[in-house]
Amino acid sequence: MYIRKHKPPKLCSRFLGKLLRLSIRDAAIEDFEEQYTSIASNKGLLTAFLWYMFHTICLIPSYIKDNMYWSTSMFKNYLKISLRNIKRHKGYSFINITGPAVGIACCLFILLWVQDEVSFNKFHENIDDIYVIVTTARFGEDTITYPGTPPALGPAVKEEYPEILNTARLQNGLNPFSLSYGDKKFREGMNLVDPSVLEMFTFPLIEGDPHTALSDPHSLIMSERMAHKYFGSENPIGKIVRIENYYDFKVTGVLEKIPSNSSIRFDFLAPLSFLEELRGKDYMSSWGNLSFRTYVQLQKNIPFKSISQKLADRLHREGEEDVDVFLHPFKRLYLYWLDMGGGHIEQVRMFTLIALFVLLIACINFMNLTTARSGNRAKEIGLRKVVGAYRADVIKQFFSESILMSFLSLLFALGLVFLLLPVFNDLVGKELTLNLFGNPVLALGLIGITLLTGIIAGSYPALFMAAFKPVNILKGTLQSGSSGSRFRKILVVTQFTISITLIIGTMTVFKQVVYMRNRDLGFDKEHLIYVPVAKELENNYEAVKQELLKSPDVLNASVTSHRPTGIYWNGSGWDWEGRDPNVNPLVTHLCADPDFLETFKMEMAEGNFYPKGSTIQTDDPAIHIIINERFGKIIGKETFVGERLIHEDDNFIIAGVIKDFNFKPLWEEIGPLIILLPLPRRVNFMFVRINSINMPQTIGYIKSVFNKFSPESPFEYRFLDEEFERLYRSEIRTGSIVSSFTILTILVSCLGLFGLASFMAEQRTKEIGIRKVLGSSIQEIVLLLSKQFLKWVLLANLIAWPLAYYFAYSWQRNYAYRAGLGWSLFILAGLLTLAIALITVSFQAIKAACANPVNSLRYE
Amino acid sequence: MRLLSRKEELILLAVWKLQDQDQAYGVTIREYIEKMSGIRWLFGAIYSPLARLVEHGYVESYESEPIRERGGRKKILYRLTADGKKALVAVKELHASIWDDIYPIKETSD
Repeated sequence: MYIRKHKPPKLCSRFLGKLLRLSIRDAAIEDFEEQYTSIASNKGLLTAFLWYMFHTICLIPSYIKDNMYWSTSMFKNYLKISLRNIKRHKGYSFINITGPAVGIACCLFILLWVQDEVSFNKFHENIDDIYVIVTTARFGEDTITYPGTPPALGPAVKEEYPEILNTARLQNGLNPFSLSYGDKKFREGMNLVDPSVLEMFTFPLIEGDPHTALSDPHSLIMSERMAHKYFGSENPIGKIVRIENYYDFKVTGVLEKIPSNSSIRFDFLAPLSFLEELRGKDYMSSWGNLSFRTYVQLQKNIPFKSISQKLADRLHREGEEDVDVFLHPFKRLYLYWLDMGGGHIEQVRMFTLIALFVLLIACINFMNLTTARSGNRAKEIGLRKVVGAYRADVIKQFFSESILMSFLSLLFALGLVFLLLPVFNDLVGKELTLNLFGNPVLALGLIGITLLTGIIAGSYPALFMAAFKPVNILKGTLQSGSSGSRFRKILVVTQFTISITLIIGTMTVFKQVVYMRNRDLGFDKEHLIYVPVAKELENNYEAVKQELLKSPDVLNASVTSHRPTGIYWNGSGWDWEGRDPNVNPLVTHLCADPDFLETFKMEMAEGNFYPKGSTIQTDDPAIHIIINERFGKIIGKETFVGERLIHEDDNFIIAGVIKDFNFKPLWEEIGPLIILLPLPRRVNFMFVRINSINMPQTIGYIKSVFNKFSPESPFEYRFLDEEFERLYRSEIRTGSIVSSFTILTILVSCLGLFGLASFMAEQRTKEIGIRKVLGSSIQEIVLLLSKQFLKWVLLANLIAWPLAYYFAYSWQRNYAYRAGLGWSLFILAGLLTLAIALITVSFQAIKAACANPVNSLRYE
Repeated sequence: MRLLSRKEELILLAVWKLQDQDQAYGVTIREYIEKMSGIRWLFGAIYSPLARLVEHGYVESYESEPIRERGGRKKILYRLTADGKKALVAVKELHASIWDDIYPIKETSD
C-alpha cells in the first residue's frame, strides 16, 4: 500500500482551515495537501513548506473581506433590533442611557481634573533637573520633615559641588509689606528670592530682562495684574514703589501670567538680600534658621541621591548635627508631597475611585434591567438559535447592543459636561476647559471609558442570555424575571453598599468641618478683628491702643507677633533643671502684650499674665515668660511659677501658665508654647475686640485712628473667625465634591431600583389582581412589593457600615482633633437610604396596588 | 436567478468539462482554467468562489472511489447540479442576446 511520506504540519493545516469557508474546507485542505506532497517529493520539504505558507497567507485578504461582509450585515441587524427595542421601551431605555451618561460625565469631569492635577508644575522647562532640599530636624525624640533649609546652605553647596548647576532660595513666609505708589497704598504678600529663580524656573517676563531684573537689591518684579493695579495703563518699568514707607524699590520687570497649574505663585518678587536690610547683616549667613525653601538644579543625568549625602555632609560640617537634608524631585512635590503620604495624589485617587463607582452603579443598572427583562427577548434569542446562531453570535449581539447604548450615553454625557463645566469649575476651583480635539489623551480616554462601560454593562446580560436553551424558550418553560435573580440581588446590594459608604463619607467630612468650626479653641474668636501694624507704629502701639479704647465699642486691644490661625515661629534647645537629656521639645514662640489674655478671653492655669503696662527688658538677667499647659506637662513639675528656663545662655523665669489654646489648624496638636512680651520688630498685628453692635461705625473709627497715627500706610483689617473659615476651605471643598458625587450615585442607584421595581410590579400584575380579589388591602400589597427591596438595602447597610467606618476612620486620622464617628452617623445614613429606596419603590408599588383587578384579570 | 461572476462562470464550466472523468476537484479545476485562459491563478483563489457556488447549490460534492495515491482515502469531487447548468445557460443566453444587437466587431475594427 502506498504510504504518504510528506504531510504538511498539523498546525498549518488547522490555520488554513480557519481561513476557509466551511462548505469547501475539507476539500481545499486535501487539495493543499496533495500539492504539498507533490512539491515536497520533487523540490524538497522546505520549498513545499514555503509554498504552503505563502498560499495560506494569500487567503487572508479574502477571508477578511468575507468575514467583514457577514459581520457587518449581522451587525446591521443587531443595530436595527437594538434601536427598535430602545424605541419600544422608552422608560427602560431612558434609565439605561441616562445612568451611564451620568457615570461617563463624572468620569470625564474627573479625567479633566486629574489631567490638570497631574500637569502641575510640568510647564517648567527644567522640571526634570529641579529638586527641592528637604530637611529632617530632630528635636529630642521627635523629628519633623519639611522643605525648609538654612539660608547659607544654597550658596555654599553651589560653590562647592560642580554637579549643582544652580540654586534658588525662596522666602514666602513673611508678613505682608505695605506698598505705596502715589495715593495707592496696599498691603501685599511679597516673595523674596534669589535672582536665579528666573533662570531656573520658567517664569517669563513680559517686560524687563530676566538676567538683570533682580540684580539690584532694591528691584521689584510684579505680576501684570498688580502692575495694572498700581500703575493703570502707565509703563511700570522704572517706577519707584515705596515699601514699608521707608525703602524705595524700582520696578524692573513685569511677569507673564503664571499658569494655573503652578504650585509656586507670587505677585511680587524682590531680591532676597532685602532681608539683610530688614533683619541684620548676618541673617542670611545663618545655618540654624530653617525657614528658607531652597531649590537645586542639577546637571543632566546626575543621580540626585548621591548629591543628597553631599548636602547633608556640608550641613554637618557647620555643626548642625541634628539636621539632615535630602533632595526631593520638584516634579513629584505637588502630587506626592515628600513621599510621606499626603499630597494631592490621595485626592486624585479618591475622586477617580468615586467617579468609577458612579459608572459601575450605572453599569449595574443596565445589567439588572436587561437580565430582569430577558424574558421579553427570550423568544428572539430562541429563534435566532434555532435558525443557526451560535452562542458566540448571541453574545456578540448583546455586546453590540450595550456598546451602542454606551455610545448613546456618551453623547448625553458630552452635553451634560458642556452644560455643567462652569458649575464643576466652581466646585473644584479650577479653570478647566473641554477641548476634545486638542486633547487626544482625553478623547482616547473617553472612548476607552465608553467602550469599557459597554463591555462591563453588556458582560453579564450577554453571557446570561446566550446560555438560554432554545427548547426551553420555545416550549415556554423559561420563567422570565426569576432566573438570575440571585446575581441581580447581589448587584443591587453592591450598588447600595457604594452609595451608603459615600453618604457616610460625606457626612464624616462635613461633621469634621462643623466640629472644627465650633470647637472651643481656648479663646473667643468671634468679634475679633486684626489690623497689620505698620513699621512706624512699632514703638508707638500703646498710644494707638489708648486712642482705640476711647470708643465704647472697642472692648480691648492687644498687639501680637502672629495670628493664632497658625504660628510657626519655632525653636528648640530649651533647658531646665532636671530635664531628661532625650527631651528637647520644639517650642513655638509668640510675642504679645499684657492685654492679650483679656482681648482673646483666655484663662490662666497658674500665676498671672503680665501686669498691665509692662514691657520687655532685654537686658534683664531673667526675662519673664508665660508658658502653656502643654509645655508645663513636658517640664513635668508640680508648680511652675518662678521656675527657671535656659535658652542659649539666656535665663528666663516662668511668670505664669496659660491654659492650652489652639494656635495651629486643628489637624495639628497643641504643642509647647511660650509667650514673651513684644520684642522689637515682632509687633505685627493689632487684635481688637469690638462690640457686636455698631460694627461698621466701630471699624470706621478704628480706621480713622490708624490713619491718624500712620497716614502713609494702608489700613486693612480682617475678622479672625473668617480667617479660621479660610483654613478649612480645602475640607469644605472636598466635602462638597464628595457630596455632589454622592448625590449622583444615589440618583443613579434609585433610577435602577425604580426600573427594577416597575418591572417586578409589571410581572406580578396578575398575582396582585388575584390577591386583591381575595381581599388584600393596598397596604399589604405595597408591603409585599417593597419588602424585598428594603431587605436588600438593609443588607447593603450592614455591609457598608464596616467599610465606611474603615475609610472614615483613616481619613479622620489626619486630624489631631477629630469629630469622631459615632453611631448616629451610620444610623442616619441607613435611615436615609431606606427612606430613599422606599420612596422609589413604593411609587411603583402603590401604582400597582391601586390598579383595578378587573383590568389585570379580564383575559384569564 | 442570480447572475454569475466571471470567476464563478469559469469554475462552473471547468467543473462541467472535468466531471465526466470524475476529475473535477480543486487542483484540476485550477489547472484547467489556467491552461485554457493562460492566466495564473493563486492556488487558493478558486476556493472562495467555489464555496459560494456550493452554498448556492450550483455545484454539489460527491465522494470518489478510494484512491491509491491518497492512501486509500476517498477524494471530494464536484459536479454541476441542474441549477448550475441553468445558471450557465442563463449567462450564455444573456451574452448572446446582447451580442446579437451589436454590429459585428470585426467589420468595424478592420
